[in-house]
Amino acid sequence: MKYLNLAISPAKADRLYWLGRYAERAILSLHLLRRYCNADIDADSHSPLETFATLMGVPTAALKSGNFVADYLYSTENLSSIASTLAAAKNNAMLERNDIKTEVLAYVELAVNTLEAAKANNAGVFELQPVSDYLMSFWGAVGEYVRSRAVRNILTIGRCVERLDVMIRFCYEPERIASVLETLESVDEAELALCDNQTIDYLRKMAAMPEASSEALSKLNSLFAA
Amino acid sequence: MTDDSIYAKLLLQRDAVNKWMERCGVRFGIYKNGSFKEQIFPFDAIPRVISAADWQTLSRGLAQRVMALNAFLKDVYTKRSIIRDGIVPADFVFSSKGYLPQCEGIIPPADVFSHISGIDLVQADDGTWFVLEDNLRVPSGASYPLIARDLTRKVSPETFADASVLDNRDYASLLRRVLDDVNVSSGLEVVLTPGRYNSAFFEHSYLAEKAGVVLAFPDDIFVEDDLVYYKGLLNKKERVGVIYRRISDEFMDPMTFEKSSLLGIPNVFSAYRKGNVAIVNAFGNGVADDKGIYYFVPKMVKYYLGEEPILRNAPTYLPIFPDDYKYVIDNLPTLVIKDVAEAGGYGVMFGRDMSAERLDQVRAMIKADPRRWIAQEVINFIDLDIMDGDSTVKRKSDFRAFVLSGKNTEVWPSGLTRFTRDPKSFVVNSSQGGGFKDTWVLAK
Amino acid sequence: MVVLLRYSYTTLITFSAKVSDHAFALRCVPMQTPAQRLIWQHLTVLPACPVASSVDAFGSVVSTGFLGRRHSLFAYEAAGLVETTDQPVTDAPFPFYSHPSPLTMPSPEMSSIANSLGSPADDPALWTERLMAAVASRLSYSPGATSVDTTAAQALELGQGVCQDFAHVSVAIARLAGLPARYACGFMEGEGASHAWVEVFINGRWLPIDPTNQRPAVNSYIKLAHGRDFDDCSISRGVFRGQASQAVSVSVDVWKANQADADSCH
Repeated sequence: MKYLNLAISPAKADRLYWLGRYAERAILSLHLLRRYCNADIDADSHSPLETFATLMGVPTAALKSGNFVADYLYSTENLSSIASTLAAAKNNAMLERNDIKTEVLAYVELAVNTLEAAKANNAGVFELQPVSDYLMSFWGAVGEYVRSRAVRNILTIGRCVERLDVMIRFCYEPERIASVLETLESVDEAELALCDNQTIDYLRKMAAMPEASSEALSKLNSLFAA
Repeated sequence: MTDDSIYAKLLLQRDAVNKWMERCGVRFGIYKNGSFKEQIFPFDAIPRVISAADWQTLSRGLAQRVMALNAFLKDVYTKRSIIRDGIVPADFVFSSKGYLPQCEGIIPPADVFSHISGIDLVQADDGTWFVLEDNLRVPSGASYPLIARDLTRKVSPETFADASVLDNRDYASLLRRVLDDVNVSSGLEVVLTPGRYNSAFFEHSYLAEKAGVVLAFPDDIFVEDDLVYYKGLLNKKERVGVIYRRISDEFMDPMTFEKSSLLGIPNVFSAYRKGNVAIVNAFGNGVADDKGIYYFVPKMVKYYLGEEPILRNAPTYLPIFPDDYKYVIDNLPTLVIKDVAEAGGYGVMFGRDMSAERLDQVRAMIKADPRRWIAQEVINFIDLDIMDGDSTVKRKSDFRAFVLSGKNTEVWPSGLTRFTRDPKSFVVNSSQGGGFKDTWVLAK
Repeated sequence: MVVLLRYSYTTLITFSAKVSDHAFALRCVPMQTPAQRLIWQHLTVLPACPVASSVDAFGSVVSTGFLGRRHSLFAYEAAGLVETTDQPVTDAPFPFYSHPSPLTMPSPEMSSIANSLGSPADDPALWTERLMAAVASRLSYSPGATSVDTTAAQALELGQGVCQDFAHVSVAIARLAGLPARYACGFMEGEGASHAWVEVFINGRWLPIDPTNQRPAVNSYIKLAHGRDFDDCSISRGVFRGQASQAVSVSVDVWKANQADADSCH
């Protein structure tokens, strides 16, 4: 059956962009949380977790009650939690089923269901590898199943913007930031037109000057105009 | 259920099927106590099985019935011959809520009004099939058996290798063909969904995916110069040629129908009237699937096609006709009485549940306003087996067949079978709990 | 009697904040009928946008448009010249003019009024006079007592209404008397706003009557639309996207023109 040119509306572009961002955010949050929890094993006070929370820009109240990790993983009241991030990803994914395909949506469903089951069992962060596995599979499946280049491009833009956001926060080396920027810029012209050129130029310069990070962060978040 | 039934192996895999359902997010939403709850639509692995012989009759009868209904719709909104020739009283048509005067004189592309017809049937305990209801406006449900078949084949390939069940996985391409047939100016083809919080949102998005068309929300579409456009990126716009709308008539266009609707596309009716866009299903079909018009459908088959109707209506009586009136009054204890008036509040009443006093009250109500009531014989449906833990129980179920009409009429070799959970319930309806089954039509 | 009528109808809507995706549907082009000939008309919309024209199922001219871009002002001006005559209007009534519509559902009181008016066929003019008298005696003209959603039965029970209600009640009663009847709206000489009246089909022709003013609706009326009731005849409907309130000002001018106005080119 011939697939019609899948027209994309501003609302649809917005959903795909945010799906890309939220999926990537869940992957990176889990990854970094594991890294900082690992550091936390050896620390006397909980300063690694506090560092993580501060860099990520998430609420730190739960640190005092010693509940930070469980709250950050599972709390539905905490809008920055991984549960909330995945719920947002799933919401966008469900609305985009016909563009990303059921096979791809399934990985988001699996990630959400696995997290929910883990919550019921009070699982710790190191037991959540399957959630990360499903999210990695999500990106793999996007490459395999999504026929529309435009859809893949917008998802990629979202993914790159999220990576840039987190990398800037956590002071990754300029070369790594530059590499993500390169991926972003390699997206087809039609979709790249949705991004603000000035901001991209600025980010390029910023890649060499990590001190300007907070300004970069705010500019970054207005990059995509669907 | 016997251990050597053709679905025995499949039943052993029902947990695997349910896991797949979850993975694919096969959901149905209901509004309960003011909040929206979505759940995986409960699937019972025991299929409804229809014999090849039964299907021969059913499919011919369904195609015939839908052709007659489409002819009726065209006639009602143009020449009205069936009324002039005294077959259907004018009153029944013009007092029907589904009759939309705005549709007078409009003939949609290919003369098709009901492109997707959901015909609800029941099978009586003596094996006879009866049509319970025609659904010609926004019939729902084909996506569930469609995906169920896909998943059950994956989980138990040997079941399908051994049994010869007609493949039903072509629904989306049948749908696509209908959309292609009526598409105006080779424009974009869209499924229009009211949004995420509609009970059947899964179906809207799944059918759009499988048919390879766009899933559009009301805000994505606008009408300019009586042409319909999809909002693209960077102020681009693309002409829309056909809209498969999953929104009812009254909410589709606040410029023409319900003023307060936020779900519609303003002025889409104007574009439709000019023939600039095809709407699937067309506006105004409610006049033909009205409870009051049901009685006349077999007569439509005779009138428009010159054929004897193959499918039977459940025996129905309209008290406004003297012979029927006498029959109803004399046989009330054995009949079921239905209120045709929307705001009636009486719903469905069974004569067998009434005291002598109540029977007389009802007789008086019918005498006072015969136009308002229809009476039907009570049909003892065959109950179907549903899984209950490791054993089975029998429950009421119905069957919705789907007939697709574009340039040709095709009957989908499957359908949605729904069942109730509550053993005392006669109401088989997705919003009341219960679940669904796949429907297998045997090839031989 | 031949009458030339000029009309000018302007509406200005000011939004408190910018709005967009503004769709509108207007019925402000007079109908062509045997009794009403439209000599010329123009319709101007601001901000400028394509305006499509079509005829709805009832026969009224509908002008539709869409303003995607942001704006805080919306205005339209309809002007034209119409020639009205005494020619009988004999188009066969659609069946739905004989059935109740949502705003004209019957009530026992309306049935008994219908029964008290005698036989329409014997003397149609007299019958319509009796109808208008019956309605006028039960409804007092009171702006603000009812709304656009008020049904005929509600207005009758309230005993108050405006031209829309007088028309709905009359239409409902006429149908109960077995006559096809339609709601009509448009302009009337001397009225600064749109007006509503009724047409009743007796002995093969539509008789236009104005129950609010208790007179036949001839010589100083310009018909824009007709239908079963008010909802079929919306002169203007619109929806837009934006958080804004609207301030609407409308002006209607209708005056008798002379032959020179008609002869001069437009």
